[in-house]
Amino acid sequence: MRWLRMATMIAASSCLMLPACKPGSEDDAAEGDATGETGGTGDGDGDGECLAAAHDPGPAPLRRLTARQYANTVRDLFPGVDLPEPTILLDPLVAGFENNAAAQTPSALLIEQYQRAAVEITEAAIDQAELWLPCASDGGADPSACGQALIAELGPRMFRRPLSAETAQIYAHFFETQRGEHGFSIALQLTLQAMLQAPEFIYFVEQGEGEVNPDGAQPLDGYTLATRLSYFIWDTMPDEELFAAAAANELGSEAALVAQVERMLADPRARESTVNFYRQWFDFDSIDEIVPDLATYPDYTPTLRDSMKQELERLAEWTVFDLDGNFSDLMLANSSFVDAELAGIYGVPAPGEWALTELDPTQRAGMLTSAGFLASRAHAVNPSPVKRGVFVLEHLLCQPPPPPPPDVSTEVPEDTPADPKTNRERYQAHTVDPLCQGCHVNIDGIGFGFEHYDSLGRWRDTDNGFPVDATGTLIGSGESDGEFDGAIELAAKLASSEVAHDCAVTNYLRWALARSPVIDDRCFRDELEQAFLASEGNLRALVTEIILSDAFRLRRTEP
Amino acid sequence: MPTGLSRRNLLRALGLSGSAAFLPSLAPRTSVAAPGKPTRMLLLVTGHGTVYDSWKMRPGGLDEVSDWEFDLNGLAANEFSQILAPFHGVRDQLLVLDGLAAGPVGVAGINEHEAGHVAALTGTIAQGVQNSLAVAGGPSIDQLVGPAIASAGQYPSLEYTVGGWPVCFDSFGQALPYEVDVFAAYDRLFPGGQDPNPIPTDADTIRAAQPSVLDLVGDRYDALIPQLSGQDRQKLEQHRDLIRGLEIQLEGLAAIECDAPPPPAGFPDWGTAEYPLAMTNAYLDIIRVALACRLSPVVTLRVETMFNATIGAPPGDIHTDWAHAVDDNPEAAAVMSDYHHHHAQWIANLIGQLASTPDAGGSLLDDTIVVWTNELSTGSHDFKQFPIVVAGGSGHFNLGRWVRWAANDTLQGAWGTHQIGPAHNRWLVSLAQAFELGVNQVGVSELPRAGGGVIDCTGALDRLV
Repeated sequence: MRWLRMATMIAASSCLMLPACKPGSEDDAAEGDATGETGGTGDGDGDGECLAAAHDPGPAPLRRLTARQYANTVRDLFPGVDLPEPTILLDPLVAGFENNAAAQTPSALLIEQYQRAAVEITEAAIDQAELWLPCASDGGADPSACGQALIAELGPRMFRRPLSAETAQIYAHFFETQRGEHGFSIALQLTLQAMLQAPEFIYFVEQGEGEVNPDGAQPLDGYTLATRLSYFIWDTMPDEELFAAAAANELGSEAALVAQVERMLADPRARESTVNFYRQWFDFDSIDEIVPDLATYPDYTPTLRDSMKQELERLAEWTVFDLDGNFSDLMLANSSFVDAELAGIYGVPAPGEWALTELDPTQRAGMLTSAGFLASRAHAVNPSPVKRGVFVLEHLLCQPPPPPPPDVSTEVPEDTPADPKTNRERYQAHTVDPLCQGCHVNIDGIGFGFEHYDSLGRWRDTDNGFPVDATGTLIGSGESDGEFDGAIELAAKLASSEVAHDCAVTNYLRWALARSPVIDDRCFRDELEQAFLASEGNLRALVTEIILSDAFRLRRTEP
Repeated sequence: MPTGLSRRNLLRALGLSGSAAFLPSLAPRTSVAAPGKPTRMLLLVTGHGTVYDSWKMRPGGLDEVSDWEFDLNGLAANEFSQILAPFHGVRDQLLVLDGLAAGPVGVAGINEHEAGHVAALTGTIAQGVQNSLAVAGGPSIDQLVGPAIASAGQYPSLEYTVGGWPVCFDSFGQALPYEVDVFAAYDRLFPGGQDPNPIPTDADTIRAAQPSVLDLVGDRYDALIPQLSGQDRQKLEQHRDLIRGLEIQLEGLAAIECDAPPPPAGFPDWGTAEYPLAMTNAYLDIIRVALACRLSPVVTLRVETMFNATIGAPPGDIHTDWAHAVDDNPEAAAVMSDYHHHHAQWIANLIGQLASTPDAGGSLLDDTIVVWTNELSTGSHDFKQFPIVVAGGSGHFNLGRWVRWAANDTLQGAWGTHQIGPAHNRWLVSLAQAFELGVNQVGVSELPRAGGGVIDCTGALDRLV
């Protein structure tokens, strides 16, 4: 019995023997969790199964707060209090995401981190008790009543639903016992520590209510829906207004739900959360690991890494919120955020501070020509068309190629002074084996399109003294497939690709539902894909569509 | 619930009563096992296998086709191989295993790095997971030995990393997380640091009450679990069990006295030549005390992070450009020989330190089995001639020797056949038996033999004790 579904390794590895490199089919997907990884091949509505009014929401495995959600949530529980940054493990990444329920295995280290974090948080909070305690910090005239009042007030916010009388009584009793032994302040801290480690706080314990539809799915109760909404849009707990809407049972109304979504998207927390989602989708973190060769790139400084990352964070936030942009804007925007460090990379005048700056439209278009993306998919001296191609396949087309087969050399031949070659020629030489070609025709067909950019992401017209050849062939993008010259043309193809749009939906769903796609998702996913295309790929509208979908609002009564 | 903890003991456990310096007198003041029996294990796992020709030793022209062994003590420094040269000074404490095969890697049928990380310490066949790292078919050796030999209050095992994928797996085959922050690792074991101030504070009272808090938390999991089913329930049950384990551990830790080492400080920046070794040594400083004080009987350190400047390598990606090319490119073989020599150097230093640390009538090394092992056998993804260097555990292993097994069997791998020596599973069995675990199998019990039949992977290796 495993929590990570045994996946389609057989399907993936068998590709190695095939002339073409297809990472999975719909049949394979039914065996595991790979549906959606192939770019959405299922039409879903052709066989009548999806005509019912309500769709199967798919599984909803028990989720745990991510490390970031934990930190955000305690911040909101004790507003204004100066809290230490809790040390909580990141869970294993699945398709780049940190919140996949199947990978959230508890470990001894994690459990101990929760315990330590609870102690540190309450220790800091008690020093500023006036900000959150409904009485004097020594308990005032009636310390017992103060403790009970706190449990009644903070408990529902911690557990994201009202406490049963029995539960409230258990914590009150614990508080009283500890107060008798250690006094008010310590008893209060110990009680809060227990609540911060309770399953209702650490995990998302979901409940349905109301009529069960013929497929065995039931609407979420108001508090569960409020919690899903809040952690999807804000990456933190519901606020007072959202709790009130849950308590008043208003979220069952589509209009009220949409109003909440609009309100929440206008809140700064939505921006922070969205940037966090893009950090995972576009793997901003790998920028931290850039180590260029200083002999080749003497201008490089470690602070450039921070600038590269910030650029992408700013660009993602601006595209979604300020531009109200579409998926195509992520691929095509020829303006980006530049500081003095990045100005040198992009060949533009250095601004005094971060500024949205128009870049040369013949050289730059969207996220894929950003210095951060290009430099984090490069080796110390030479860029890596393989890494760049694999990223596009994995994250933008949802077609992760299998790893190289064994017993073949993956060495890229060295350049020799007697017979100098371009980076492209060296990479071409290392995949001449027909066994490699099956996949590398797809990987390199994309990756070679980025050959105009060196390992720092700077534009280059020549490589090793030869003119750059950045022509390529896109395979796997549906109607956008075909030849192109350079990353600008490649970006345009991706921007109009239906497969790329479907993959964006898949990635948003991964984050929203905290799980991998499964074959049972095909009906609601098909609707979402259609809606996304109909909105011309509007990124904010996609959030609303997901929230209005059955996957988000319903829950199976059986797992 | 009564805590049963005396403040004095608790302060000691948390390092609050420790002296201001890490004194050489690391002798444990708690009860110890009978001399001679190994009670601790340290697993050091590096990457990219080795460069076999720079690793192996063949004094007197020993052959490649038969089983043999020789005495390391009789070798001069210049007779040691390039990679293992740093071990010459501690050769009497070594047991080098030459010719084993990480057989499960050969049959996994997925990327060997993933299969190797799984197989190295579990002996199981990796199972690929879409869009994530492969999982194991069972627990790693540290998770078999640690919980079996840990006493109440000890951390059953500690897992640290200076980069690299997980090599430790729980009984479900799920990867165990590493402590990735050396400062957090220090604070976890020595929360009071070296603070000599013994004045009790609210914080001490709160620490002493943690078992009571966890008792309540465990009860809350018990109350919720019946409402769930399937994997959700299993997840909470595992969480609940870990809460209960931590409760017992915190109570028991109070009985352990320990002088805290100085906190980690003064690191070079990430990416600098000095960073990998500095970070490795910072973990080793913690590990030595953790073992000496018996805070934990089993520690795993995975070390992967490396920069070209650290080993004076020319530009090029260590993994892609150098490690992968060791078979075909002499320059790559030279770079990777330096790479493995670098690791041998700090491991040899560590062995020397453990050997000179007094412990229970002998040295800390005497009852600590140190194992240097790897995810693979070579940078080119081979799994044969799996390089294993053992040190310590003198009461169990017959040290000062090099033991060679010839490749007398043929494995039917996922993509071809391979001439191999004994499966490294049998080494894992030897290791388990060194700690008196009554097991005869770790990981798979058999592997497919080319042409039919099976290769037996059970039973301890011959000639080790």
